[in-house]
Amino acid sequence: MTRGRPGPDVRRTVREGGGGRRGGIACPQCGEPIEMTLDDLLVRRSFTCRTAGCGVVLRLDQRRSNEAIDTLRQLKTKLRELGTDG
Amino acid sequence: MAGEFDLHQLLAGPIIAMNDAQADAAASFYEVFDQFAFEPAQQAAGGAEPEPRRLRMISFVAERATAEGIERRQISMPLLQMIPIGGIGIDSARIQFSLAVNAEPPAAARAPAGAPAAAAAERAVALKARIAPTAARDAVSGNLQVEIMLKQLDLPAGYLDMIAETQGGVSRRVPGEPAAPEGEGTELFQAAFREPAEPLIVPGGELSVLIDIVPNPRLVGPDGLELALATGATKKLRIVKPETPVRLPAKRQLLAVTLAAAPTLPGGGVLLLLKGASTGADGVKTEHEVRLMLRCGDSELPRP
Repeated sequence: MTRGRPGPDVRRTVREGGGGRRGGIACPQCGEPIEMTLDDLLVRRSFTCRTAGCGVVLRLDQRRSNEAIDTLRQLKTKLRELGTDG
Repeated sequence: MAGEFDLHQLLAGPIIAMNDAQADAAASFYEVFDQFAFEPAQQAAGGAEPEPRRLRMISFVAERATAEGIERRQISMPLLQMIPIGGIGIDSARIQFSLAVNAEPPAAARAPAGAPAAAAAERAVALKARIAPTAARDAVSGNLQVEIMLKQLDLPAGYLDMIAETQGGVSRRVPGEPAAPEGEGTELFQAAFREPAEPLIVPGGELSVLIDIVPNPRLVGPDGLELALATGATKKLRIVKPETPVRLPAKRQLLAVTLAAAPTLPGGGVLLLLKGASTGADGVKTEHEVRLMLRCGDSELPRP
């Protein structure tokens, strides 16, 4: 059985099943979800895992994600036009 | 009379219009979804099969403090996984209108004497109708009222499956760090409720479910498979079976799990966690966790 927190060579992934889907990413260290919204991704540049004892910081890699961020901006505009941006 | 239609046309009209509106909304949403989720299609050279379209990705650098310093990992995720978008659909509609109905005699009745008998349909009274004006003095203003309630839709199941396949994204250490373990970017195993597909547990009840465990075909050195309940649910639910630790199976397997509920349960549901681990030939340990949502009912079990 797996016990304790993972060490540096342990990779964890999380899959949500049987329930609603939320935006965000599973913390690469503890596996707990780090929730992100479309607005978060457009405004913030870093996200911190709030799980006690974890504290992993995710920094948006702007060089690699330029195109993705542009796409998110366009998505925001279009969702607003469609009235589905909540 | 002007503005007068067959009754069935008038009754079907708003329903057809709503169907068309829903189809238009779905088409608009798909256009957005397609541009958002996928990179543009690449032109294939001279009659060759076009390359499969690639998911748009977003990248992060994950920083973690270790005894040796800051460990950095490059993580790439499909945008589609990061932002759950869905279209909108008509949840319910209420259509209200008044009709001015005019019954016309059957066609057979109007036929000249001695003519062949008309079909049954022709003997029916033809009902003609028009939307009644809102007031007698306002002959051009109809009183049709349509109230539509919309709901947010999730993505179609096929797309959700695709997202599940990419869940976890691709993770690698940034240059300068030791190489990432073999098989990085793939899940150790997948799991889903098999029977019942959407289990529901009620306060004070006991629930037996079969969970379909599908290990990764490339799985090497499967270790344990731990079943647990999400923090906060441990006082509300208890795992009755399996009583002893189980191993992550090397081949697809159904795992029987029995849970017992406390007299009160949280609203909504609780998460059942399946934590699997595997140790590769190089001694590197990989863990994967699947979270399955158990719905909680709000009524006691029926008494025998």
